[in-house]
Amino acid sequence: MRPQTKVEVEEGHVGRVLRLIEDLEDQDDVSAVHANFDIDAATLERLAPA
Amino acid sequence: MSGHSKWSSIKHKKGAADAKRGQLFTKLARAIQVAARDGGPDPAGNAALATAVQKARDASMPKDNIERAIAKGAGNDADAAAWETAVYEGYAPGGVAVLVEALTDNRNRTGSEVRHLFGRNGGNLGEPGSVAWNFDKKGVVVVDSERHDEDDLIVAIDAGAEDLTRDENVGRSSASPATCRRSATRSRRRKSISSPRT
Repeated sequence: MRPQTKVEVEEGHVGRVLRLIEDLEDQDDVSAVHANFDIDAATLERLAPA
Repeated sequence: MSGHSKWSSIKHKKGAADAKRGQLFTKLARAIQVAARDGGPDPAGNAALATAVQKARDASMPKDNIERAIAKGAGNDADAAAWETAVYEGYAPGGVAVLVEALTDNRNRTGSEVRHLFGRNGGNLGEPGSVAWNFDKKGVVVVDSERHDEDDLIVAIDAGAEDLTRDENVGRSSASPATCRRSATRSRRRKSISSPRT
């Protein structure tokens, strides 16, 4: 799945967005998660959940 | 750090990695079962099964497990019969659209758990169709750019590739993901694989 438009995520939301994606991916029945966030690489590196 | 606590730490990490791997294999096997159930056991005539098998191979799933999952799906196994696909749509914090694909034997349970996860992380589950319009189904083929140069990718364009990009962070070293219509993915993969750079 490829999003037609992307949403730039404010730094304050990045942690929760990534945690939500990770929680969904970890759910037993979920086979794929797609999202249209746009987060720059440096912010991702700094704020990605461990 | 003492030897014992170092080993404890490694064991803990290994346990977590094994659990993740086990969970991934379970999900991949389920996708193979459902694809075999719906379209038959032959990947050559069942694109969904071919894709599911390819994903399993990419994740280093043992061949026996793959064959067992195909047999289970194609053999009218009661477990395989119960699984159905479900799609959930919602928003993450900051207005990010999220599309969740699931294989479930109980829509109510899965829907409730997905809703809980959205709520717990500051998002909300939306109505069907609320975000799906924003996503196009595409096939992606990733080619090792150490073995292939741009000229080799002309076959990809001939076979329907819409977009070619170079991504330094994919694969062992670098790679060139090529996006195309989903139906063109298999033929393009076959063509790309059958004409390696020498």
